[in-house]
Amino acid sequence: MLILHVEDDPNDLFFVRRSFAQVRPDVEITAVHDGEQARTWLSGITRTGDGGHPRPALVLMDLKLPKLTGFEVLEWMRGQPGLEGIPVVILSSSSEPAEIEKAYRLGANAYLSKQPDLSELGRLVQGIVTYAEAVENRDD
Amino acid sequence: MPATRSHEVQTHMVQATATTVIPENATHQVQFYDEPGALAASVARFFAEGLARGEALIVVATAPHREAILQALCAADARCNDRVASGQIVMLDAEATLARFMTPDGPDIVRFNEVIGGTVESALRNAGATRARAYGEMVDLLWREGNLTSALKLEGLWERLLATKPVHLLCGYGMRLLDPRFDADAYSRTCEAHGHVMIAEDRERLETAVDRAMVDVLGGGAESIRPLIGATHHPYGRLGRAEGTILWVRRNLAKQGEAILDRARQYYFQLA
Repeated sequence: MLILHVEDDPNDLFFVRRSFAQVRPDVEITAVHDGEQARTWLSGITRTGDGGHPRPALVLMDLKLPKLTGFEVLEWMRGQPGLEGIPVVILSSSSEPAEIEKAYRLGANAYLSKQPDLSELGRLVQGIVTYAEAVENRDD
Repeated sequence: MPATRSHEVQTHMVQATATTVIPENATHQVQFYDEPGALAASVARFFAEGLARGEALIVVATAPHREAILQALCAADARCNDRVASGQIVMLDAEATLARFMTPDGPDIVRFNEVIGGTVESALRNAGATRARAYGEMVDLLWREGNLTSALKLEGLWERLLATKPVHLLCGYGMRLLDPRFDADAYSRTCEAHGHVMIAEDRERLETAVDRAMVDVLGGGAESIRPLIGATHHPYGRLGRAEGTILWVRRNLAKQGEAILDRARQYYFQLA
């Protein structure tokens, strides 16, 4: 299973990657560091492996990103055939109701707050993988 | 819906005792219910608190619900019938009252203020009270007709009235979370129209049913996914655990979601 992690903060990247490695080392994490990179990477998805990227089971994304915000990437994804069904979990430092509402309006599947507690992050990571697996099974 | 209220939805747990934990500043709450009996008990507790404070009570409900509420209220208050006779407790039929201010374009604000505002004033006068409590299900009638636009407009009219009258309002909606026809969008918009959401009376049964159904369908994955669901911010504020899980499953797990809700329904009725 592949998960795309869209995050510009090096610390957050490190801790999330470490949590995945501890909890589910079988899951491959690809990280991109701004919204434009995310859009470019997602544009390169192919189903047949003809040189493009494989389809991620889930996108884990921050909202405050350079170049294109997480909102803009999310809105773009939901308008792209082939990408609209990929689950997007927002992992943000903001818990502003307006941001939460906007993320759901644009098509986010879940909205989580960034966790200072690493054990809690580990539990969330396990939940994210289980969710992605359930969605993959659904698509089969 | 006033912007200042849109994000104030909070989880409110009704305790099994007569002491509730309704926040002091709460003036507009919503109760979703599955069974009329549970609704009557909940409304009676809401009213019993008002009676203890000498408040006037107004019920705008269907005939079976009026009867059930009055019965539950009178079981706890020996002077209940006297209070009805004196006008401290006012019982109105939801359909007939709604007809007095509904137009083809929805509820009319002037007529609403005359009918409902007038009722509040007369109840306060009759009770010699400075505050009133009201339970209403006219919005539920509109919702059941599929007229969500008018239901939300009526919620807005109540909001404006609550800003000018000393009334604490509880709205009742017969929305069944486990119903296959449940409309999550309508549910969320209804939650947003209220300051506080009261969790179902039988929440333990609902939680148990949902927990068992999750394990049946997802196996060990149920335990893994629970922290994710628990940590997810909902678009309309905090909800009870079972309610949050049901809405999350509906939103995110199309195929397994149907199986989970189907099993949860079976457990829920078995546990009754």
